Amino acid sequence: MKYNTKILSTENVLLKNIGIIDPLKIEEYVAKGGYKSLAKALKMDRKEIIDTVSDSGLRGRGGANFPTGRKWLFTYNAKADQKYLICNADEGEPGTIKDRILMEGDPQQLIEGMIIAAYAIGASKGFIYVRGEYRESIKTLRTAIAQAVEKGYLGNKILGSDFSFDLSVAEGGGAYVCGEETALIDSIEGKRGEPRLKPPYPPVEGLFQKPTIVNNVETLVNIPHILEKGAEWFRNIGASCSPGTKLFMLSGDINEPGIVETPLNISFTEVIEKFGKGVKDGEIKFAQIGGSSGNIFTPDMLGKVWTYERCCEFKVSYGTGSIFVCNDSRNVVDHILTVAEFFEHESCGKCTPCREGTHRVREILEKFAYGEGTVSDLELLKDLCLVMKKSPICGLGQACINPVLDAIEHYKSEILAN
Amino acid sequence: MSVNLEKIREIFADYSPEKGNFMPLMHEVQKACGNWLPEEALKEVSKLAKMPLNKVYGFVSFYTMFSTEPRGKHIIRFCKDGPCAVKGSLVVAELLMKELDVEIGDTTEDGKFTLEETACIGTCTAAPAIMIDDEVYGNVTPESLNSILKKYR
Amino acid sequence: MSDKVKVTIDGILVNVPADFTVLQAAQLAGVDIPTLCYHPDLRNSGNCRVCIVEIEGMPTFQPSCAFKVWDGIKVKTNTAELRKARKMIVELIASRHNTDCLRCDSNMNCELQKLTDKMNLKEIRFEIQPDFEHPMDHSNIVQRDPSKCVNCGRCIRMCNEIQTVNALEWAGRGYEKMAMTTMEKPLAETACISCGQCINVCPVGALTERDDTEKAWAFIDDPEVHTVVQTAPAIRAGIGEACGLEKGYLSAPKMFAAIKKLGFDKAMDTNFTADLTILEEGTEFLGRVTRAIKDGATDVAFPMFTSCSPGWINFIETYYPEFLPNLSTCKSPQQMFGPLAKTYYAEKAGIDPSKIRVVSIMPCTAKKFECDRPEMNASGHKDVDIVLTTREFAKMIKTANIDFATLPEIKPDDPMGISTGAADIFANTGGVMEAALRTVYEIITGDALPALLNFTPVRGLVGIKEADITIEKTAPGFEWLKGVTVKVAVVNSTGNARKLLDAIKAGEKSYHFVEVMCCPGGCIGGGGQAKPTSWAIKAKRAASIYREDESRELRKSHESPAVAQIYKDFLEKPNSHKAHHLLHTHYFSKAHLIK
Repeated sequence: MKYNTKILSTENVLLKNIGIIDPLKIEEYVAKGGYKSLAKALKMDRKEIIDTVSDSGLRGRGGANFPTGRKWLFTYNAKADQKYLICNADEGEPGTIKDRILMEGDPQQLIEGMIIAAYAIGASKGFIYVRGEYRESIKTLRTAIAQAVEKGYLGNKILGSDFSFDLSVAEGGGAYVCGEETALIDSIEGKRGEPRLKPPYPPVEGLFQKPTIVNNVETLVNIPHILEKGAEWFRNIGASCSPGTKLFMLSGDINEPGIVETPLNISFTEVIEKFGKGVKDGEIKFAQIGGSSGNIFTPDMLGKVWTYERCCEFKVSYGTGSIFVCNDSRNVVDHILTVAEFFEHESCGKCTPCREGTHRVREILEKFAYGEGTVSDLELLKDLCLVMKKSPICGLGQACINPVLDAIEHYKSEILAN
Repeated sequence: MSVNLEKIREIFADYSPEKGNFMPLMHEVQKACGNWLPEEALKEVSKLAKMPLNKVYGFVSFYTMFSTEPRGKHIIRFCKDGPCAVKGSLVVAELLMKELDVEIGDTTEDGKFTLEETACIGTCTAAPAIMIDDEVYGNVTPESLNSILKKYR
Repeated sequence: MSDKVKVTIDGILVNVPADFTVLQAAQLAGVDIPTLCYHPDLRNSGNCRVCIVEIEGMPTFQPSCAFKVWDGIKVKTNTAELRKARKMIVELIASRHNTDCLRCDSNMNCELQKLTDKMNLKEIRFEIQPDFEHPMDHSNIVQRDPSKCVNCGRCIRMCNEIQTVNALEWAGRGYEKMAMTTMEKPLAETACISCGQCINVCPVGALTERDDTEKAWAFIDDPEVHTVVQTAPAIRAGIGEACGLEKGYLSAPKMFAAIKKLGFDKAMDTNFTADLTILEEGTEFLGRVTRAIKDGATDVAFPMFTSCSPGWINFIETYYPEFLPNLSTCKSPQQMFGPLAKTYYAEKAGIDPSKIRVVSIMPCTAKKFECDRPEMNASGHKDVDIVLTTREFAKMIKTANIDFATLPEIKPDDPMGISTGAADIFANTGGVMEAALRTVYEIITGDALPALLNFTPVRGLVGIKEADITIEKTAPGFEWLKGVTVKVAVVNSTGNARKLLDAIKAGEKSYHFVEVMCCPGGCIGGGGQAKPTSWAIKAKRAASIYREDESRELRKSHESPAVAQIYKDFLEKPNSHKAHHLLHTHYFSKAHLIK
């Protein structure tokens, strides 16, 4: 890495090897206790592993928060001659860097998590789909995989068991939408990365129409630790209803930008103050949590503790965990215009409301940015966003208007004053 | 520059749909053709992958990292999204445009650099960031920009 | 006994098969849901989002065209939120559409017009931004206007999944995404076979055929010129529908009357040369069989493929040029008619052939390509001057203020108007094969073809059927065929033709004679027929054609007195030297289009 990423937290589980071991030396990972969990898992019943993960309460860390064990169970139960495990490393959500850090800093942690997951669900083939721009991650992972094969952790009859797992790195080509699991699957199949209609869902019908689990990088790196220390250990971290640690990333107007690993029983204000050393060059105005499709949190909201349950109650999400801080010199309209430009560029174009909607949202916001927006423009914008919330095929179209709706709710006068 | 069909055949000798490696091989083909994909290359891929040409073109036109127009020896990508934007990525872009005398999306006269916008490249805590070919540079300042460019000039 | 599930649509309970979609269930419940990208003959894509509905328990709206029901599912199709969403979606589509309806081919027969009318769309609050950047494509018979494309994707699904021609595909991403040709080239430079199936499924006027009606009017209005019209078998069961009458409306006599009322000089019939084709092709086939089985030659090209479908000819020239020797050398009935009109008829009627204009009315767009082929000039002139599709014929009838339903019933003109029922059935998939067998079987065995020929679907290949005919009884001179099993097959759509050709190449299948129709369903499903179209509509047209055949006194090509006359007076015998010159052709590889 030709730049420095600060790890702001100190009591780390997932980040503990980053910057400490050489990611291109598997022996260093092993020396730190690596691959012990795999050895343990291979002696367990596959269903037992799934139950352990379910009992731990681990939820998907890519933003959707689906219970991981429950997802694995679908594929475990599916009857097919071939099953797949895919790691979604198409990290494209602006403000999000955690998967890159994990892949480039501790690749074997991810690989070990994947092998255990594949064994549990019954997948003999796996892919790590890394976005095309992450060239260093791709190189690092390929080297790490080769080393793991050499040492017998990957490939045929792993560690003398009957389980064989073939893992390779698939690449993206510069399309944020390929972070959506079915678009990702189509991309691996050599097609345009356009989401499929769901149902059927990938755990039942995914890659090459076979049962497929798609898990985020951060989700998978939790697995070796859960296997090592047990479900109860994981359950007891943080709030019991959203256990485990989460990786957050501080960017924007923050004194100490960097990555933080923390349980979820903490408010964002605390994260900003304690780890980020406070807002830079001014007072907090708002923060967008979870990337460009994430919600805009007012200072009030930032002061609360946002467990998964509270998020459901108030219909917001912390998504990928990116915390983009904006001080009081920032203009809400400028920010949501930048976000709108992003989505206009990234919409795959398959369905009408997203293809046309992302373009029109940007057009209307541009009017406001140039001081030409009217009240009826704002009404049209809101109507459009509400249609886009429920009509598109996939999460991109459905979520991309969240920040716009949030801004209209909390900062309407600022938008109109423009 | 004429297309090296032999090299493309070499690259695609490793292709099979089950390996899910169409995309990685296309990246290699693009590199072999000098950072872009001429029609001849796409036709060869169509033959080797047994994929109709309309699907090959449809694939390539979907992903931003591919180009069917000639590009420079080095691709400079600057991030324009939120975290980088507030840290001055547009200033960096303007500097690059001035320094290289090139518009966004275009290639310099000497064919050395193509300047492109990119979506977030996951360097948000070290914003603003740029990529030149496979390398990522974080915390870019007007001062550091010159020494970065020097390596490629 | 199929599994049935309980589905509630807007409070109406229906029992439907378990593999139904919500849209199919709604149709059973009598609930209408508007659609755009949905087409009953194509894979469900669910991308336009016009057909979205609310499903109890699901947080977002779902496309009813593609969403499979489950037992107990509860669906709402017309809530206030849905109405608003649908209207906005149609508004968004309309905002990218070239709303120059007055000059559009699809005016008054446009699915987007129907939708905006249904939604009562009174304003488009977004700036209208049709795609004027991508140029109009008039390079080929099928013509494209990107400014009218609504991004439904039907043409892509048809071209790639049904026809497997692969000339169209999505290109670009997001707002810039459009249905494009391969490499964004003009269609004439792609593998496009001009079958026009994409036009048939286009809901708007983004895809149309080259309009030759002005040329037709010019011929009619020119007193120096003598117009002879020929009509394909499919037209008699297609033109009524195209004029707004019921699907499958049948009337050959009114069809001839319409032609005369428009001002054309002679209304003759392609059916005549369809019968002639059977004689020529049947003789050619028997020639190959004789060489292979009687003479023991090992270099005979089997199977022999029929050659009357120009879309099929384009397909095989492009994708399977190695099979060109297998094609019958017979021209299509249209292209047999042309040279005969300018030689045989010209002589008989004492008209200078340079003053004759042959106008061909076809259910087919590829016929326009066929008549323009440079080699189609055996008469010393362009054999067929122009081709009009069923749709263009209907437009002329409309322009001339003719009410098709109240036309008188007249007979076709001599000497090339008489035909048999065998000619009628050319319009249906399997018809050419049956017509050929009616004659060839009788020649070989001395008996009439059994009424029910046992065609079975080819296992694993949907849309392809095959039959084995074992020759038990033989007519004098054909004793060497006794005990031989003649293997035939019938295929429609080029996608199925591809499957069959691949199976033949792989050695999995072998036949003596194969009928190939480029269009799904055969000519009655042609790219120039009335819009909209579907398998259900094609079935009605096909049924009418069979009814026409059954109503005929003469049903075998070799019984046609007009055919006997032309051999006696002009051609001497099938496959004669003169017949070869006028009625047979050769083919060219177009493989460079896909290299």
